[in-house]
Amino acid sequence: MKKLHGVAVDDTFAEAFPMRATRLLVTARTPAWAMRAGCAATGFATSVIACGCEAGIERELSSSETPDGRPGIAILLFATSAKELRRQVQNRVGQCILTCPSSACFSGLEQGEALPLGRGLRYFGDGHQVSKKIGKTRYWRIPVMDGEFLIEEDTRMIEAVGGGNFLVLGRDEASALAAAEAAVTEISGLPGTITPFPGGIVRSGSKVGSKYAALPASTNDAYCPTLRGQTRSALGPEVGCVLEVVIDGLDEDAVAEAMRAGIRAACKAGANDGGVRRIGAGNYGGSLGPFHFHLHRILA
Amino acid sequence: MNELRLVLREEPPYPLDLSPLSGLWSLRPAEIRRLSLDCGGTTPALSELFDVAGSARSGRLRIEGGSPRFLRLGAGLETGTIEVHGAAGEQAGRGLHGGRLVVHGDAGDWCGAGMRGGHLLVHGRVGSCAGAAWPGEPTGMNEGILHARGDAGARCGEAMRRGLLLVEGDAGDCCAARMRAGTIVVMGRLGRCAGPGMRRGSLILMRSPRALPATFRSGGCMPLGILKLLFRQVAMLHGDLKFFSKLPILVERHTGDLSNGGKGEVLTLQVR
Repeated sequence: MKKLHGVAVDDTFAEAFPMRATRLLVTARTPAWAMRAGCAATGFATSVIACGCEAGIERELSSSETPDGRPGIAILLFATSAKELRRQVQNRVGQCILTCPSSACFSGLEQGEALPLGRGLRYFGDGHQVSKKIGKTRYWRIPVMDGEFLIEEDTRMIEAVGGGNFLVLGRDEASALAAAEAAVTEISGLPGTITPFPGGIVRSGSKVGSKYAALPASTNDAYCPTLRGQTRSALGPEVGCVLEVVIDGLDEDAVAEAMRAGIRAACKAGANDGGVRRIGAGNYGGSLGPFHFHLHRILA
Repeated sequence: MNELRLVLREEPPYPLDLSPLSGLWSLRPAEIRRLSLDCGGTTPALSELFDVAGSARSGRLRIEGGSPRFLRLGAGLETGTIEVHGAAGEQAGRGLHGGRLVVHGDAGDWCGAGMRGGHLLVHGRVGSCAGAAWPGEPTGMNEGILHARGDAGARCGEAMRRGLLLVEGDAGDCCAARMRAGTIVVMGRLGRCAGPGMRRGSLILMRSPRALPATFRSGGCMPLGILKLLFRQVAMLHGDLKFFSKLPILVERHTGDLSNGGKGEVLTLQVR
C-alpha cells in the first residue's frame, strides 16, 4: 500500500477522454472587470454531460502579458467535438464577453486548427464593423455603446484531455473539503489546466448509465457513504465523505502534473488532523477513455 | 558565409534595371558575374558595372554606391535581404513579396508600389506613389511593411489594400487616395486633400491636419483599443520608434470618404 504523508493511495487510475480545447485571453479596463467577463463566460460549464462544454479560468494575466497591454485573464474551454466547441465559443463570447463593459477578447493559442471568434460575432456590428490586420492577425472592431469591442478573428483549437481526476476519501465532510480545497489551490497555479466544477470540487461523482434508460450517467453509488451496506461499496467504515477533483488540461502532461500536485496537497492537508483516509480515482474499467493516469506512477 | 557584395564602379548612363538581383540566391558566383542587366537598351553583364565579391547563398546582398538611375531594385523579392548604401532609384521594392529591402538613402517614385509582403525600409525620402497601385493594377500595397524614415511624396498609399505604411516625415498631397484598407501612419505634416475616395482603412496622424476634404466628418475624440496593438507593432520596427508603445490611444476620429462608403478613418492623435 503506497502512502503519502501517511495517507493511503489506491493502486488505481483515473480514466480521461480526448476533448477539443481553446484558450481565450480576456482583457478589460481593470482586473475586476476582466474577471467578471471571464466568470460569466465560464459559468454553467462544469460538465459536458449537460453544459455543452467544460470551462474555467486558467489564471490572471498582468498588463505585460496581454496583447493590448491591459489586465486580463486566460480562460480554457473544452468540448467533446469541434462543432460543439465552436458553438460554445460563439455563444459564450457573444453573450458574456462582448456584453461586458470595456472588454476585449484574443486568442490564447498560436498553434492548432482555426476556430472562429470574431469572424461570426462581427455581424453584431450591423455593417459598421471594421477589421484591421496587424502582422498576420486580423482583428474586428465592433462598435458598441462604450466604444469598440475588439476581438481577434480566430482562435485556435487543439486536441486536449478532459476528465483527469482523483478522489479524496475523508473522515467527514470538513476534513475532505479542507483537503480538496488545498488540492485545488495548488492546481490553480499550474498552466494549461482548469478544475471546472464549483470551487474545483465535485461531490456528485457519477458512473456511466442508470437504471433509468433516459439517463446517460447517475450517482456513483460505490462511493456514496449513505449507501454503504446497500450497494457494492468501495468505502470502509472509516470514510464519511468523498469529494472528487476533476481536471481538464491542454495535454496529458499538464493533467498528470496537476493530479500530482493536487494529490500531494490533499494528503499534506489531510495528514495534519488525520482527516484524509485514502486517495482514489474514478475510472470505468479502462475501456472508455484512452488516457489512464495511474496514481502510483504519477506519484513515483 | 560572406554576404554577396556589389560595389558600383560608376554612375550608369541610363536607367539600370536591377530586378534580376531579386532572384539570384541560388546562382553560383560565375553565373552572378555573367548576369545580364538592362541598361537603356543595352545588356551589360553585372561584372561590367559592379565589383562582385562574396556568395549569394548567404541570402544577403549588399550594394555599395546607389544611383537615382537604378530601377526596380528588389522588385518582386521573395526571400533574403538586399541592402543598398545610396539612392535606390524608382520602383524600389515594387511588388515586394517577402524578405527585406533596406535603402540607406533616398528612394524614387513608386517605391513599394503594389508590394505583397516583406519589409521595405528607406532611411531617406521616398518619392511619389509609395505603396500605391501601379497603373492598371486594382490595388496598391497589399501586405507587408513600408517604412520611410524621411518624407513621402504625393499619393502615398493610393489604393492601398492591406499592410502598414509608416512615414516618419511629411506626406505629400492626396495621401491615402482611394485607400481600400490597411494602415498609414504619418508622423510629420500632411499634404492637401488627404483620403479622396477612401473606402476603408486608417490614416493615423501625429499632428492635426490643416484641413480634410468636406467628405470627412468628425466623430469627436475617443480612445481606440486597436491602436495599442498597432503601436506595439510600430514600436518594434526601429529603436527610435519605441516611444510608440507608450503613446496614448486617444484620437480625434474623422470618418470618410462619405462619398465612397465612409468606412475609412483619419485618426489624429491627441497627445496631452
